[in-house]
Amino acid sequence: MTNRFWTYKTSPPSPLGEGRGEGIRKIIFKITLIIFGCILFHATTVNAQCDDEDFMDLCAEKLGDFTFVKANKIKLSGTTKDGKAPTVEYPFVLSKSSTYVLTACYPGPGNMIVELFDRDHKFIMSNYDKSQKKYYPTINFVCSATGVYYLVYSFANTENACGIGMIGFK
Amino acid sequence: MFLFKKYSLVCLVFFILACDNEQEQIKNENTKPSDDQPSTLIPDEVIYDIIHSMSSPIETANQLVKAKVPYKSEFLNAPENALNYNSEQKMALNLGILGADLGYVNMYHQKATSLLYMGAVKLLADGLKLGKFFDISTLKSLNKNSENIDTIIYYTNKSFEEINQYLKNQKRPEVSSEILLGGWLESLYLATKMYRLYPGKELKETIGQQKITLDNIYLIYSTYQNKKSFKELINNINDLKKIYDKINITYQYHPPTSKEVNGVLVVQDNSKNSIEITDQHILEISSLTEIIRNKMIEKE
Repeated sequence: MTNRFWTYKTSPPSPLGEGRGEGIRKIIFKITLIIFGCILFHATTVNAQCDDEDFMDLCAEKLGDFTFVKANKIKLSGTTKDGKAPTVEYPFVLSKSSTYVLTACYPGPGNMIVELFDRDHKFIMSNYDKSQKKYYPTINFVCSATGVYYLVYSFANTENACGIGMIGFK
Repeated sequence: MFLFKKYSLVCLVFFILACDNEQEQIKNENTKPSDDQPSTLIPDEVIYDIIHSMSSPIETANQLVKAKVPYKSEFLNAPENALNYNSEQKMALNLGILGADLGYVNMYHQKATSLLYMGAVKLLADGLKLGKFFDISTLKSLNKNSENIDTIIYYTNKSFEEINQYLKNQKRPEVSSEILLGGWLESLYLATKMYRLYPGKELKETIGQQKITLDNIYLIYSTYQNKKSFKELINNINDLKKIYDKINITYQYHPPTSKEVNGVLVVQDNSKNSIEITDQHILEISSLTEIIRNKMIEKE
């Protein structure tokens, strides 16, 4: 009778030689394990950091002299079917004659992008200036028409990211 | 092979148990009395998205400050009234009302009064089993030591955000909706009261803009139309909506302009909206809001 488990454990003869092949395989396995561990650790740390109240308080400092009104906790991972970075949308009522600050607070590498669209989904602004390839951690919006606006969040150059988008007013 | 069979058997048992549990749930839902049956017109997730999208009562208070309207404590619900409410609905509505008053008091930098309202809010939050979100000792210490009132406002607003998240997880959207309604109505009540004393274009527009929030509230409360305990609130919302339906808000998009100021991107919205609201509309809104709000703050 064949022992299936034993069959799986037994390696086929290595083209590099029995001992050398086994050694390289062990090294590759260890490197893979370390890389996987690092990714997992990074993702867990970043996600834990996002849920941490201290992180939110730290992000609130970016509001400056604006009064805090709302926070959007963003968690996104992977890519969309067409290979693009996933996005999440939050509607929010903004009022005429108020100035708002929109912040993008993200603890990891890469950047967090916040875009604002009007009620008809017409583009208003983004914290990423494509022409200058520049990110702004905060943007001020002088609102002149009360209504529903859409805040769209995404992350650039990173996957499995989380961050906090805050809105303040004055 | 043996392992596969064993695994299949375990899966089958779980599947049967899951189906049985599902049937049990359906059975339980069918046996609920009709009044408790929630109308499933809008899913909870959508209700919370709407609640999250609404502007805060503190923004209306900010408009009063910007319009240079003086502070008037006599229009607020007295903090000691927090002791007068026992039912969940009254407590939730008045948590919203007193929360809006706390925001108003804070916007006018009334630190001593703010402490009283913090206590009232904490009392009602405790009654609704939401007290853990208001760390009164931290707020007191901030009130005493912080020069910047924004820190107190930040912690208060954050607590209300946490409450909504908790209520969402606990599947208690009715309580969130009541807190929202109480808070919004109180801010509207204060704005209309102040307008009658200090009329001005900005304040008039602030009152008119509430049409957008009311439309959202109307949408949320349509979900509760089969609940007897919500009947009066829904009637009130419908009556207010009838007046607001006469107000016309138009919108014209114009591309924004932007410039960098001290490293910060400043975007100027160039879109315009006109709010067609008359003094007669405001008078009607003001009278009805006062009646509804005074009923809400009545002792049980």
